[in-house]
Amino acid sequence: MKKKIATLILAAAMLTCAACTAKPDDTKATEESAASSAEASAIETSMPDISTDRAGNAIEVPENIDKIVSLAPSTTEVLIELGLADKIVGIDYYSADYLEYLDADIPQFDMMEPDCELIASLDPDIVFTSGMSSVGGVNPFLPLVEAGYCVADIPSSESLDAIRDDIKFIGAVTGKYDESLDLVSYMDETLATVSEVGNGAKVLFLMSIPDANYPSLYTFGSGTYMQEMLDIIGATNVFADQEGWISVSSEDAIAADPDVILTTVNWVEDPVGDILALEGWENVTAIKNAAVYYVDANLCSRPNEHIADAVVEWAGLITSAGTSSDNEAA
Amino acid sequence: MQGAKTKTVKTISRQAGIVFSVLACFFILLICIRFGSVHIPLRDMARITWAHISGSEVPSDIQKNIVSIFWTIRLPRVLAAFFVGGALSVSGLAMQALLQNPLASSYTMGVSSGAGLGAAVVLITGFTLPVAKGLSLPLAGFIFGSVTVIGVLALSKAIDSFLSNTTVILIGMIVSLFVTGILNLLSTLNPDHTKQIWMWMTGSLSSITWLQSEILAVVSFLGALFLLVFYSKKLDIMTFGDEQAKAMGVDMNTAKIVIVLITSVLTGVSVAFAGVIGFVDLAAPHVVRRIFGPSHKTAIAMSFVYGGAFMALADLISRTVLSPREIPVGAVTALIGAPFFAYVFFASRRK
Repeated sequence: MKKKIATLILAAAMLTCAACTAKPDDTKATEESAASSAEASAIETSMPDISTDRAGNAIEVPENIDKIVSLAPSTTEVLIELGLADKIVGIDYYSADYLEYLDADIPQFDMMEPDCELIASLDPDIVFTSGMSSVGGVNPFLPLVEAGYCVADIPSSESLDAIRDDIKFIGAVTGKYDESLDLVSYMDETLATVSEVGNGAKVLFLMSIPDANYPSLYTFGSGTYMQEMLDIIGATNVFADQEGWISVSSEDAIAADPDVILTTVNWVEDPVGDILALEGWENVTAIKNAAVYYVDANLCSRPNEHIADAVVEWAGLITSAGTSSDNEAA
Repeated sequence: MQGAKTKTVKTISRQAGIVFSVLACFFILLICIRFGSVHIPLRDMARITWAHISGSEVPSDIQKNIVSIFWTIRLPRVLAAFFVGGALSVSGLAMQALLQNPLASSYTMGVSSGAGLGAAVVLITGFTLPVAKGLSLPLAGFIFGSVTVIGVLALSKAIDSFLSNTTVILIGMIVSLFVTGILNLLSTLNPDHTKQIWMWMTGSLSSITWLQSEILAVVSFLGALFLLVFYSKKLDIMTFGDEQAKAMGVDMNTAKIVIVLITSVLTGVSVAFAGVIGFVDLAAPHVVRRIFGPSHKTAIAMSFVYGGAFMALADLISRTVLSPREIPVGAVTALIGAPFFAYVFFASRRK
């Protein structure tokens, strides 16, 4: 009974989270702002305010930062690229992907249920957390904050501009502001190489495959940085009229008749094959033309400057889908 | 004379009630098939259905995607919702009679935590069936769910050979907490899979295929029929309590074991395909008992019909209210079922 209720609450929480992540004002950033922000960020040299973290909590950043605990893979990657790998003393499980740059014995934590005692015993100067950790409204790092440690929260950003600000924030906090501007320029320059190759192709993005094993169909709508990524490529998200990260019905996904299907599902052996074999989807254009592609899940789901690399990847796939279906038509 | 006459009147009104309920249920199912997040003209629905029944070609002026949406996505989903609701409702009814506890359900016996553990084991080990790959998870959920219930029964029997209700309920709670503990431990040790395990447990009817829907139909129908034919009398007697039943010469132990196994199969198969869905097993049987009285012969059949219709309606709401978004169907059944159940339950108590 308790389990049942817990599951329902979780389901309801997931739903509200999905609903409230939608920020309508984030949709503004389209290809023009992407182009103009390249100049904007070059001009904007004033350091961001570091008296509050990215979630708006007041923080006091120590003068010297020698020990960093990073509990989000996107942050860990930025820190490493800022040249701070040797200062990282603790990471979350997912950050273990970057273990080759770190001390092999580095303590790893569960970002949802961190071992605050062990984190405190590392005596970090700063702890970077991600908004993920406080899903459900309870900040699991409160004990650390109360013990006087500097806990800087960086909630998952929903726009490319916010991602730029995240990178600059990490740079400013760690005394590597100039280096962080380089990362932002890398992002802008990479994005600038992508042109609108999508031709308005209708794209369905599957973050889960709606089959027997994982019954729901998760995707995204507007107000997400992934929507901006599709905008840059000039492709159309079939669920652009929705807001945020959403679960939609198979009926609507099929009725939308996407030209291309992209998926980040990396927990099955052959995600593309599984999607091509979905029952009832046989007549969807993307399935008929076999325009179904796996995209690097880590690249696009860890919001930092490498989002730009993901845009390049997506653009390549969507372009090739366009040309192959043209060939077939001809 | 007087008594016989009222009895006939009662029987007639009950029969009328049954007929009305079955018709209403059909009507609800038609509504559920009619409406969806994608609008399909009634005429096209009829033509698609006719083409499939008669085996002829679907008329070419209907978009092929619409055909798939109606025939491959929506129809099996509505049917699956009906059978899941029926199975849950009948299993709730049987458990409530068996344990003489109006709040009992086979979830109390650890079916859902067991199924969750099974799914977790499959996800973490990456085991897949050589055939019917897509059914590995549901099957594991089903097997682990049933094994957990058998474990509860075996433990209860070892501690208390009379299998008294209190023992069964307490052991059920302890075992399901224990299994949940293992599940949490596994998901902590394998953070990569945590999200998948939760996704699976929350469940949804959104991607039910014909094959799954057929399995659900066969298992739930046969399970309910078995209870109806062989155990409705015994359930009637059990409602009076262990002592009374024993005095009336019912072999309580065997009956209890068989009934618990059948209910765990009914719940297990629905958890396996649709996730953990609450309140159907509480709300539907209560309504049925209030309308049709305590006799299990009618109650089992009507619970199936009412539970199925309730579930199909809940699923209709889950897929249409925020369309194209989906609300987890478990959230819908709880939002409607909980207040409704509270009303029915307390209203009947006040009398």
